[in-house]
Amino acid sequence: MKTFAYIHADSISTAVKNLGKDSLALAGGTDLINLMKDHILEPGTLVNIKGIGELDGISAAGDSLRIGANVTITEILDSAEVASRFPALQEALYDVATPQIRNMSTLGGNLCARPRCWYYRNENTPCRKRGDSICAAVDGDNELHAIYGTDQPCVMVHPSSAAPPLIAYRARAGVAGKDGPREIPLERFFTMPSVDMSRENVLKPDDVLTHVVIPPCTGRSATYEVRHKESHDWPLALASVVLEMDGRRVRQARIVLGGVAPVPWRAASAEASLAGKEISELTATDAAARAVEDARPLSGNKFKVQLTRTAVKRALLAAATGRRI
Amino acid sequence: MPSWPEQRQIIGANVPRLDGLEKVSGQAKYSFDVNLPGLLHGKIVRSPHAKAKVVSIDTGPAERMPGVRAVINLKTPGEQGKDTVEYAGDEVVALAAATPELAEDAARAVRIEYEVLPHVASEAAAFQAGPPAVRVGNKDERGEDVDAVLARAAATHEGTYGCEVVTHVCLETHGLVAKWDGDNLTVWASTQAVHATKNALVNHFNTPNVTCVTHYMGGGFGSKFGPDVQGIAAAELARKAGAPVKLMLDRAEEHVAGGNRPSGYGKVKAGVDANGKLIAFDASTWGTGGHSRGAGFPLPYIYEVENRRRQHTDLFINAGDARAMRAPGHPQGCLIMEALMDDLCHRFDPNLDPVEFRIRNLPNSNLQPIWIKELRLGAARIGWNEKWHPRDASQPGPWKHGVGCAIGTWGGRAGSAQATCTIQPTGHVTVECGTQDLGTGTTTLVPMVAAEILGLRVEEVNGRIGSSDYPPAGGSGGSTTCGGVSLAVAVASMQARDELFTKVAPKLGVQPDALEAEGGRVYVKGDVERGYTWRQACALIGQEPIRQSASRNDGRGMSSSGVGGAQFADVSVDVETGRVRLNKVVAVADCGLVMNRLLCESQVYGGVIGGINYGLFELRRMDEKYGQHINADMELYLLASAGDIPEIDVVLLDYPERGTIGIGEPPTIPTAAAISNAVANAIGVRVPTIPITPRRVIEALEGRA
Repeated sequence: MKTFAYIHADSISTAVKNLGKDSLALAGGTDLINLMKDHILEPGTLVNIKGIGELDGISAAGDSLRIGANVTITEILDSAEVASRFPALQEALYDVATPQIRNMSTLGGNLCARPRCWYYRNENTPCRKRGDSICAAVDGDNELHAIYGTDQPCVMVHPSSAAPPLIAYRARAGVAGKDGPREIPLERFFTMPSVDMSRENVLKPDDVLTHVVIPPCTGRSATYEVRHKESHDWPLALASVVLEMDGRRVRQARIVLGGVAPVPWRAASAEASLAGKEISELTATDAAARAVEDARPLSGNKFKVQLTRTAVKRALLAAATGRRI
Repeated sequence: MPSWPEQRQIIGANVPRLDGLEKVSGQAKYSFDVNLPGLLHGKIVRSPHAKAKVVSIDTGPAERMPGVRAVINLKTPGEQGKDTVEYAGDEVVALAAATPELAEDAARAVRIEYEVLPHVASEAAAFQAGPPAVRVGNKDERGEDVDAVLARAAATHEGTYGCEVVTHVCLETHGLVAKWDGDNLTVWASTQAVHATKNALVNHFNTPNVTCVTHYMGGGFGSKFGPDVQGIAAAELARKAGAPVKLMLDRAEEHVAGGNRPSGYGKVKAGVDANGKLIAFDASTWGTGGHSRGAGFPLPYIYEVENRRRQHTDLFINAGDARAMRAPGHPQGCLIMEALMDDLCHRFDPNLDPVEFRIRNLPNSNLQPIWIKELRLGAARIGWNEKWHPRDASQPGPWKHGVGCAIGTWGGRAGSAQATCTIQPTGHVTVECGTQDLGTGTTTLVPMVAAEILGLRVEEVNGRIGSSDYPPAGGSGGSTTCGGVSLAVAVASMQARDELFTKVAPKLGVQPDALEAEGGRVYVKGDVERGYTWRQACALIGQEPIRQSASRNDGRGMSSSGVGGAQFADVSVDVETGRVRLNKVVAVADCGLVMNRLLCESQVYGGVIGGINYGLFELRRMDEKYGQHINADMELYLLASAGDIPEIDVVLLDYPERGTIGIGEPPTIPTAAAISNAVANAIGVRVPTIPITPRRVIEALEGRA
């Protein structure tokens, strides 16, 4: 590990002041430390934000729910408030990693997670995110890589399991920076590799993600995830849906996919296809087919198209009926 | 001739692991846990290139770092045969420093200039490259012309099946702690062969004074039979630095350099006659064992075919070398053969029960009745008659259910071992044997066997193993430890007991052979009151303790070899996601005389879990272009979590008349094949290659496999 300076920040302003081009924020540290050990990331300074009280806690903000960036995955899973109001978020997080990691890792860390791509994490292979001019995954082993946005210069999948349901719930991200705090829709928080190869989101080097705010949801919601293993494994495909209903008919559907694109992926045409319809095996299957119309799989991951189709269909049926397959 | 007692108090019972509490409570000190005063930490500098010539090595920048105490080159630039690296991860330099972190930093400071050479990193690329990456073996032909027999067969099936390279993933990685004291070298090694490790170090350093200690070890599975490059390097560094050195591999190194099971593929065609009996078998097989190891495996497996032809090709690629791995060759041969058997059975008669098809084709050997018994028993335990269905039966809903079976075989003869049994005048009993506990329970086995013979309780015998200072014993490979150690310990204990009887007999006015040791007493047979307590009896020994040694060879007749084994899998497959869910595995195993039922079952559980990983999860991913093992971790190299392990129903058949036979390897052989057959039964098509991943299920269903 490259030697680094360590700063303990006890306030957002201290964190912002000390963050910058050569520094990184440390929260749960469940992945960052490994990336540093493997010399994939070599920050000159680590700013520990774990002690900043404002980043803690799940609390009401008017009708909305505020979840601090330092809230652990376990705390979200333990929250009765989240369970009753935003079940799709808990469904996405149930089996994230392992109990030990869930106890340490934070919502902020999950949203800002770096790619799990095996080329990104192997010093001996090229990776555009590490400054090389080649993406090894495009012609290499891309079984777990993107099926959407594959014309991008990097074909990573965003690993966050929390992002798809939060975007489906229209959550906003709270960010603090040099110019003070701001809130942006979480959907616009994530950026494609072509925007900035070195990052996966809009955070500037001296920004801190402070919290997310989830507005009240009157719709029905669910997440369905396809994994190889029962636990301790990344999603091969994940779909979170929120259905705003008019009686038995869908007024507006929001469908967000995880594990299939460099950003959480909105399935817009599938959403549109459901407006005014009842959710049935037929309409869900049709929407699922539309969701993968713009999928352009790579050489080794055509199977993920089928998995994504299934995840969308099952998430829709689960949200509409409350039943799981 | 010595024999096992007919009435057994301890052997065959459920004797809990003596060191179980130490292990689960963290008190057990593994080699990884050995910390000595002044300990230095070793690190290997490895090649980032899959194949290259080492042009120059500049260790100066590392040596100048404060705290770096020794550096040695493991490759010699300019010296033919010693200046090339054969895989990404090959060892180039070793160094020792005051802390692990410093050692890591120093390793990165070493400057190595490479001349990068073209590499080959997959089976397909090896075929393309041709020799020397391809070595075609001799054609093995027996019986009549196979093509002619196939042409007249009642039914034939041709398929290509395969198994990927998997690694051992020992929880405790390879490595050792080395300490010199003058010319005396002591190593605390994570090894499954304390004497072989000692001998290798004796040869390398040309000193007789080497001790290898392995009190606890965290898994070897065939990959830890000697000190290895890193063990010798650690001892060299320790000598150079004049301080003890610990050098254990990290997880990535363990995957890349710690050994693996070769891949095994076969394009096979077989035919049956009108009675469904195999009459012809034709196979072209291949696999890779890395850059210098072969990839042989038995085929045809178990089922005998009179007319057959096979040609095997070894492929050499720039990847870490294979090592023995739990039942070397058998899981590959079993998967290919048993998948073929099911597919051929389906081709011959879709309604024919594959269990019956197997029984029809079993070889006429002493194991035949055992396999039949195991197949019938396993079928009953899995609910075969209710659950098995012809492949074309349509099931509603996305989850399709199926069952499958497979059989295996192994030797498991008694391996070489010597043991000494000492009875002190105080009554204390010590048994010493230079074997090691690979995790199988040898620590418990040794005092158990002595206690049985001496009529004591297990905790009354002090068993000492895990050091080369004890009498020589072979490495724990081939499922030979239980047999060899049991025999040596039993006979040494019998001899010690008989010597004790000679001391006690005159006091009781009987001949020594009239005595019995049982229940903590030494007494005249048939009259438990006429005798002494164990301590009273031992007080008659005199000043010199009784000390008797014996070897495995003294116990001839107390062991044999050759086991069967049948396993059944009950699966559900989600055809919309390709996920396989295991509902249950039944493992019926035999190993002659069951020594310790609890530990024996534990071996079967472990073997089945290993087989589940082989069948569903494990896969070494080599990037062809860059020659890198890209999932050298425990995140993207998948291993079953607790939730992936189904109910495992272990059924042990006890055959005391066959004596002791090893059980370590056989139960891992048929699991993956049984799962593969269950998946085929569920979804109606074969997923030809293991592990059976969601991708492969979907591709098989779409006809792209």
